[in-house]
Amino acid sequence: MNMSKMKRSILALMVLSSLSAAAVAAAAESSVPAAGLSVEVRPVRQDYVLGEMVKLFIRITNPSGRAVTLPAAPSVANGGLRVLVAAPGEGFKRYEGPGWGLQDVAGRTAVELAPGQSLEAQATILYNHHQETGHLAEPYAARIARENLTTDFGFAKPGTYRIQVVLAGGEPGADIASVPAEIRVTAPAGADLEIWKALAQDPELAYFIQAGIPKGDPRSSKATQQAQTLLGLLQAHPESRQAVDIQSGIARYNSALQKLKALSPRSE
Amino acid sequence: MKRRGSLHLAGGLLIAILGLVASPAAAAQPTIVRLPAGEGVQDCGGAAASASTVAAADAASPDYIFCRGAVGGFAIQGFGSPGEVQTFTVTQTVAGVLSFSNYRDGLYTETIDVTVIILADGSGVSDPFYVKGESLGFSVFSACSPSRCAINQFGILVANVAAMEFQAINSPLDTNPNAAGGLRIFPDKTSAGDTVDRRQVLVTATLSSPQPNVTVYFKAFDMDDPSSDVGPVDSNGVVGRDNRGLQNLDGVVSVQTDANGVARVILTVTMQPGDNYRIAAACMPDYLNSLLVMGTDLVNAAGSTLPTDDANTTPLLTVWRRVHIEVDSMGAVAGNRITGTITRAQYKKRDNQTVFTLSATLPDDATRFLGVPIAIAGVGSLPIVAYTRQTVTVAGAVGGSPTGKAFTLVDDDDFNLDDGANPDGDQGEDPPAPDLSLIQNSDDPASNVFAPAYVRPVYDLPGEGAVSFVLNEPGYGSMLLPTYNFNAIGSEADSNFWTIYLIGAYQPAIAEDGDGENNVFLGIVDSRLGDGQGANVFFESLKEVGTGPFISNAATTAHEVGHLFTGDHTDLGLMSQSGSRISLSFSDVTLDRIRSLVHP
Repeated sequence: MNMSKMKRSILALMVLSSLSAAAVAAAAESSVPAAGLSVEVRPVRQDYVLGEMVKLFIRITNPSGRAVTLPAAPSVANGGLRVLVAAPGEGFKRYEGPGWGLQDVAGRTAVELAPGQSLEAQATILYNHHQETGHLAEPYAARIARENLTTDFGFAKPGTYRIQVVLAGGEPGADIASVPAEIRVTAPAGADLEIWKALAQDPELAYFIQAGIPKGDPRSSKATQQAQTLLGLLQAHPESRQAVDIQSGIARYNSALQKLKALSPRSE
Repeated sequence: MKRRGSLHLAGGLLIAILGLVASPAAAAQPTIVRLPAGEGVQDCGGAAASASTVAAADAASPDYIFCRGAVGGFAIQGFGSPGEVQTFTVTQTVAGVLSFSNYRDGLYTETIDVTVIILADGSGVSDPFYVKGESLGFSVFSACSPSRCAINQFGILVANVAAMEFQAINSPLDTNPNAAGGLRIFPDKTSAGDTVDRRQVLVTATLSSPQPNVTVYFKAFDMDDPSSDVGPVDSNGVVGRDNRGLQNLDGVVSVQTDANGVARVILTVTMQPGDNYRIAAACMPDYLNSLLVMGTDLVNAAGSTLPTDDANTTPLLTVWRRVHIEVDSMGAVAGNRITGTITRAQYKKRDNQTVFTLSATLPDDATRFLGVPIAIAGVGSLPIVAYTRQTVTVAGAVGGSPTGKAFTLVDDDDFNLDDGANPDGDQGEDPPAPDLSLIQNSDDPASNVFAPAYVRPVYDLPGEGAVSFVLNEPGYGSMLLPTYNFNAIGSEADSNFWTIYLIGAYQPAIAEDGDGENNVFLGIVDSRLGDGQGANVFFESLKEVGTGPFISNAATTAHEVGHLFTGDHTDLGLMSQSGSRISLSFSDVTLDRIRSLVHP
């Protein structure tokens, strides 16, 4: 083999090697589904009163120059998105809304984000679904309390809160967090206070408002009573800031009851 | 020698403390006297028999019982001429059982010399000398000077806690199949109505010699979690104190032995699976307080693993829990086959489509019947291109006068893949119960994925067998509850009797049933933070998606039950979403959640 041929061979080998390295790097980079994505969170408003449901817009963007494929469109319902809340003077802790993290999707669920493309999702914060810890030794109860909100509400007292959304990365350490957003929660007055008092007395009313169904069998007498309580609050305080959400919750509940009435199987 | 409570003025403080009065006949005889416990002597109580005068006691009836390592104080009272110095040598009948020292914390040897200085009144008492129980056995010690011996001797039995064991009270104990072995206890109720406290286990400590009334000290230890030494399962390594249940184990309990030399205490365990214990017993409480937990062993200050001559330990005892699973499945499929008549057929020339108006109402599902053929008697089978609740649209013009003809519309659902070329919408076929092969009543992690969390599924709750069939779930969360027939619902929030409901169901809500949609739910629970009741496994969804090593009925079943134990998709492992799952085992994060739960 002459010199020039050898040089060409060496050059070809070097090109091949670098291409392989790039391919390996690319493969490694894309083995984490959410790698390269960014996530933003934006509350609909900055100011709320206690007992008012906070609505979040969430945007997942692919700022990279290559397409990114996610196993499924992330949502709080399927656990692909998590919401963290930092109370005044505290660190971020996980907030969990009704029914979050339960949807195990399969099938043709993969979603591809082209370069520059975004996905949007939404979430609401009102009732905080938390687990019991009173039976646990202090280190374990403390760890749960460190990592998770343990109050009945996402916002349990007035103050300035920070909210962060985390996109599950699919591997430990691969999660992607948004820049925190801030909201101010103030003490309610007047009609808003009356609503808040009712929710504070029975936090499951907040669950009802947020989920549009009660916590427990929707056809139970307890559910009926809660619906009546909410309706009474709505009728007594139509001007309250929570009124729209209460009305929506009741409407969804009524729709749910209609579906339940149709539960019996179709006959031929 | 008599004992009295009165003081004797001559002979100094020791005589006063002893309250001894020498009788004239014995005045010339030296005597070994026992120092009271208040003098800083440490002993294990025992048969405080009066010192024998001539005949030595025997092992069955010793004068005193010393714990191995315990020290008892004595002195010698002598009589003679004022100023006389008497030297007594203390010896024993069996070498090595006892040892002696002139100082409590001094060097202990096989023999010592004790000096008595006779005072003006003709008597004298030595400084205290100390006897230690050096090794197990019985020995008699005496004290003699060149001219005379003390009239009394002491037969001392040196004993220790030779054996310890756990004995079942209301919960049988069997072998712990998980790491570190030992014994296992299920402290939970055996039924929802069970009122017996099953958390207690008897701990026995047996002396090396059957002696009554010996004080034995017990201490419980929270041993290290052997399943892991890293968080989140075990964040503090090998040092123990990692039980999850709330409990205070710091105290030392003292109990006296019975006639057989056995002392007993009761341990009450927690209810958290994986919590584990050892109980140590010794004759001296300070020894127990110096023990350290090293993994699943107890070690003394010198680094020796129990049992030692000074203390003994039970085997490891680990808490397991049962989860009682009530299993149902939906009854025969119905509603997937719709029949009726074509009431009107209208050809739309512009679209080149024919719209049939039906006598029957189709379900409110935008995609179910797309592509599914409508079979019209005498006309043929025509794929549907669009439909509403009352109409069906097919491509092209349709001859054969379909108006008035009977039609059959069959969903292409086929959960058990038995339709072949003749789809029947599974009409009349019975979805079975979920596949329990990964949540069996077993200790093998391969067939019980909860075993590494010290939980064992049990199937002793009668279900209905078949419950009402629902073609599509009405919704999620508590909307699932009306489809359940959960007989054991009364105990679903009982922390001492874990119950859940598991149902073999057909398909989720319309939007996620895979009939035209991209997203399919393979299973769902109504809630997951310890307040859920049941889990659904959707057979038709599994067919829509297709199964593989990590997507299967069994994996979905175990995954959904994992949700009831607060498992989260971000835990990864078996709790990963079906589409990205690469393991059929729970991750450490999920195992930690399961073991920390009050009830599923």
